[in-house]
Amino acid sequence: MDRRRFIAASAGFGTVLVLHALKPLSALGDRQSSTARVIVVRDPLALSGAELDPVRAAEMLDRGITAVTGFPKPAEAWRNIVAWDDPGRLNTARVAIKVNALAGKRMSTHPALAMALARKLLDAGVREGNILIWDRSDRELTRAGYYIDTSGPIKVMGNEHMGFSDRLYSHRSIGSRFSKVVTEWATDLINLPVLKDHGVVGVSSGMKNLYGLVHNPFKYHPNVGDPYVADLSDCPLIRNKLRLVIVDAFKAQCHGGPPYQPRWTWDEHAILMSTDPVAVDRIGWSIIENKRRLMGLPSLTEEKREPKYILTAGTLGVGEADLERIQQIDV
Amino acid sequence: MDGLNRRQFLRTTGGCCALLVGEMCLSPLVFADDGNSKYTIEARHWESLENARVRCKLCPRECIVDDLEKGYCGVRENQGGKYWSRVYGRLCSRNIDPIEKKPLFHFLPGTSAFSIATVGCNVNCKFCQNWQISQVGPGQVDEIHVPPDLVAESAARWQAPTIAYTYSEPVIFFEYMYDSAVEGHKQGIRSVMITNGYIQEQPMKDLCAVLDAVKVDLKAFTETFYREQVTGELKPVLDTLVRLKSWGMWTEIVYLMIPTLNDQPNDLRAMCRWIVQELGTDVPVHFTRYHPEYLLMNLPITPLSTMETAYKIAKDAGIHFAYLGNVPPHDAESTYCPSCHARLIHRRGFTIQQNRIVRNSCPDCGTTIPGIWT
Repeated sequence: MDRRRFIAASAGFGTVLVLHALKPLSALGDRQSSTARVIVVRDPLALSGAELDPVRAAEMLDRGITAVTGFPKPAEAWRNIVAWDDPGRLNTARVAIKVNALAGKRMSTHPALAMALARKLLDAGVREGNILIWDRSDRELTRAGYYIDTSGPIKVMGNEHMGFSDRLYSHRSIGSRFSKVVTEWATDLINLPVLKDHGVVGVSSGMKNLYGLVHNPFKYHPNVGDPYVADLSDCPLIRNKLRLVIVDAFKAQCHGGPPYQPRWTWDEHAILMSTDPVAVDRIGWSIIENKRRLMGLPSLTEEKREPKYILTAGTLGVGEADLERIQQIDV
Repeated sequence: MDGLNRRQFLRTTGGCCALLVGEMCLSPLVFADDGNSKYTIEARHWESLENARVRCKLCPRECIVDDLEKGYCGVRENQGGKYWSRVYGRLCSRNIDPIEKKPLFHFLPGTSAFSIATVGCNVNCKFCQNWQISQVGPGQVDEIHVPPDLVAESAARWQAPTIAYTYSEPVIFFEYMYDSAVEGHKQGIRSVMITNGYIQEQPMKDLCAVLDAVKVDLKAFTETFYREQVTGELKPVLDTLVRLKSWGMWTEIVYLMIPTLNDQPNDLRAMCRWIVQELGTDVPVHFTRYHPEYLLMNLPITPLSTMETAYKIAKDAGIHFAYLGNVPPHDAESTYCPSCHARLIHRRGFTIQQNRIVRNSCPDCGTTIPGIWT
């Protein structure tokens, strides 16, 4: 292949990659689409004890987002995650970052990671005041180490400040009021969960973290969360706004969740990033199963809490659940 | 059938409104602050499991609840391996209702019930008529703090001889209901539970020691309906009905008629046969009319003809006291003597037009009419 052909071919490949990255999540969920990609970014020095180095976390985010999008410059990559459909929209975009603060400081999304992500978005052009880090309540956020800020450039608050929609949204097995953060405030969602075992639904990571968006998550735990978790992720309200999933797996837990159980946690030193909410959960499930095997624990299937909702979400077209069709890229 | 004239209507509804306004303005009840501790009490009927998990033993669902999580009802929560009720004294609804609204037709007719609820429910009926409170968690609606002694005091102040635990699902506020019933009895006030009957044997047995009547919603007579429309099970509800009968608890049944889903005559016949066989002919059965609500909005209001068919099926099966509810003025709202067929209690909606029962009996033929009349 001569130089001209090589450049033409690789440029074409690059274009395909970029276009792929710019598709909304709903489009990426098509099972006929090309292989889903999950980017795994590691830095063994980022986490020291319980403290996450914010500089290293920020650098990991940049490494990840360039791999996710194919854009070589991080700022450009972030811009194309938030306003993938219309770059002019960046000025008015309101980005809500859903963290998981249930289990206190030791097993919640690290505040340093959430803040690093928020600053990346500011640097990319999202306006001050238009970024919100949120979870179910101020109480849980505070317990997880967040500082509540309802008016700063990066807002941090529990759902009680905006409340739930008056309207009831119905979709497949779901009948819920949704957080007004989703129905009224946000134009773009980024899901920033942790990676841990869940005693009822098997794995709690990206899709399960969306339970914090509805007023009645307690109704969605029967039958190992299937099909509830999948159906919730399939709701147009979410699919139309969810841009990216970043799993905080600096520390992960393979048994005894959702509360923090130190004997079953380990330092994975990683974040997982993908625009495919199913693929990233499927990789997370594999990581947990591998760790359970290493620790001599029975598999989730043997414990009758296999997170089959991930497979159901794949069937619904929310994303790719077939490991054979998911490309894990370590960077 | 006699009508209610305009003057009577205004007098009735005006009195009711005055009662409610008075209650709202004059009540000494304490309104909630931001804290949850005063609403929290250790739950009854649960057991510990490993890894700080618990198993709830209140309803047949037997939720296994991880630390930091809630049960299916949304109001009972595991914190640190202990199970807690988050709705003790946490009222989201209170009203003075006619006892006929529950409906209880054979229990102190024409009297008022101080009717209360917390949020929460242990099933999730797609047709729930009160989903705004039953399908939410604590803190998601306006709530006030009314401990059990104040429940009894409020009922007494408004001269309601009965406290009714109703609107949502009282099974899930078991501790609050139980303690309020105890406080009520101290003041001579009775207690009635308006329930789906989805409760385990021991907690129901405990409640029967402090309750005076129970109304059970029998939502259908097929497991399929319970599984698909209720997210529950039929058999435990039938078991509850049989137990209530064996324990001598005054019980009435309500059956909400939903077009195409639970109104098949064959199912209704099977249900009525079961009632006669297991509970006898004297348990009142109320067929009530469905209105589209919550997640089941695509069906019409139950046709009156369907309701009347159900009434006839019940009477043909031998049920002595079948009623129709949520319908325009209808003869089937009234109570008739099963022997001489004389009209004994003439009802119009929730209003008693005439009550001819004397010393628990028909004044015409002397037949004893089952119920709690005084």
